Amino acid sequence: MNTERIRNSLGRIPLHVVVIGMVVLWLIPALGIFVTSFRSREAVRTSGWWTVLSTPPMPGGQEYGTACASCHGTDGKALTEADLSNPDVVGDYTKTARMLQMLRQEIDGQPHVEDPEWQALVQDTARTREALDELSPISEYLGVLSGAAPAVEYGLTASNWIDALVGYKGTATYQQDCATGVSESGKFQCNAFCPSSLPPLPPTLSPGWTLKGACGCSPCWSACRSCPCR
Amino acid sequence: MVPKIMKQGTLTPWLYLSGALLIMLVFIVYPTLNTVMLSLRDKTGTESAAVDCVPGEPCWGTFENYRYAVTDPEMTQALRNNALWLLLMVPGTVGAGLLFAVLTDRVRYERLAKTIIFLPMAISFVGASIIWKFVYYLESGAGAQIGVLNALIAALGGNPIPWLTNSNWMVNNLSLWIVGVWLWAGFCMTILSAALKAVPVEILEASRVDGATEWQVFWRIMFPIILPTVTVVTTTMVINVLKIFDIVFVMTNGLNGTEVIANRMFKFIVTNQGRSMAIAVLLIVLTIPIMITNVRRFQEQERIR
Repeated sequence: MNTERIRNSLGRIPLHVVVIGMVVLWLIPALGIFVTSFRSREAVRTSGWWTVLSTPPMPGGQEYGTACASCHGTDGKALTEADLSNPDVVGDYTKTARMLQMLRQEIDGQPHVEDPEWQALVQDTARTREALDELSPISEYLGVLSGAAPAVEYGLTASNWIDALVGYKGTATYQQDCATGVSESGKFQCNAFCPSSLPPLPPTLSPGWTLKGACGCSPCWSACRSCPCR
Repeated sequence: MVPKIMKQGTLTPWLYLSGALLIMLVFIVYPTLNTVMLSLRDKTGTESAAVDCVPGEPCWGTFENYRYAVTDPEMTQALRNNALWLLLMVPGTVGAGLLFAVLTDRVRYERLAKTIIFLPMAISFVGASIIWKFVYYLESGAGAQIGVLNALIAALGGNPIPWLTNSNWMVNNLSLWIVGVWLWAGFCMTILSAALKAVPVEILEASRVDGATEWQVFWRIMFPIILPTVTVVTTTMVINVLKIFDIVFVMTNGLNGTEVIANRMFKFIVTNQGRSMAIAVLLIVLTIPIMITNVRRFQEQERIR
């Protein structure tokens, strides 16, 4: 009797496979658009929505590892006289042409680049174009490493939903624009998330004080008409 | 003896009908007749369609717009595609709907499974088209494939396929047709599932006791019983497919060999009213026979009841 039942449920496995397979097939397209609605524009453009849970390697990370990390360190801080995590240092070489020119100069009579393959590439003036192309991901990587350039937001974000709900029409996102104060140019008002009642003012308010932290107003809220944070 | 007040004159029934008739006249009969009239006029509706005739080329006089509607290469392509849609999508949706209705009938998570298959019906055609444009997305540059299908192909080591801009028009049409099946299978499933549930259990049990296999039970007993419903679903789908527009308009706008009649009609609505109306009339003419069979079928079912 028991074996009969087991055989019966084993025989039903193909049925379950077909039903669940069809359900999954039907679900995938809609799931894709749903997941995509929580991703940033740059992330959507560069990677598939199914990669949302894995953090993709930063572009240029591998190149940095072979060409620079042995001296500068993986975090860029190994050499204090050339701290690559400092945006001011990196900012001088945002253009790959300037970076290449700098890399060709010798340091204390030694070539700047140690890795033999990269050294050959950097020193060969006939391959300048190729060298510039190869340096471009490293330049991008350094920008993010030093904080000089914003990193692509690969995690889930609600900004698309916020933009849709407030009817944002700009080129960045509502939150970004409000945080940088674009709203003050009169394009739109950043009062979508203003609390109906603002926190009370601290008892003593000396002139020149900014209360942003104190009263819990984000820069965005400064557009609220009655917001005291200015 | 019936009191005089209860006797109906010949006029009274018409009086009762007048409301419905008036609405029919204003919203159905007049627009249809007006469409037929305009289909015989030129692009702005001011002169006879015959003015568009080019000397030395075939011309049907007043019916010039109809000559366009049935002989122009773009239109013959649209007619061919509509026929193809009928041949592929109607069996596709009804078949998928029936298969799913039968299969889910035997599992415990029937409700959930059916809800998911029905889900696309809740999405607008335009929304569904955008969803599938994303599925079919082709990255032609050096970047990663962000469309599911091409990413899968790339992962298996193949070359990405342009699903909607293929040089083979059949691929483009098949891509669109899959969207249609995805959208409509849930509709067919719901109606067919209801019909399946109405099949008396006694008959099924009797046949199983007599030694019929599940295959035989389905084809010899269930299918004949639900056949009227299958016919109604099929005719409804035929009408839906003949009118197909949104998917094509959003995803390809009729490019790369995917033109359909309704999209052609929409393209001309501003630029050439006469042609647009002639195509509309053509579409009505194609749908009427199916409407008639559908109505007949309903009447027969009423009579049986």
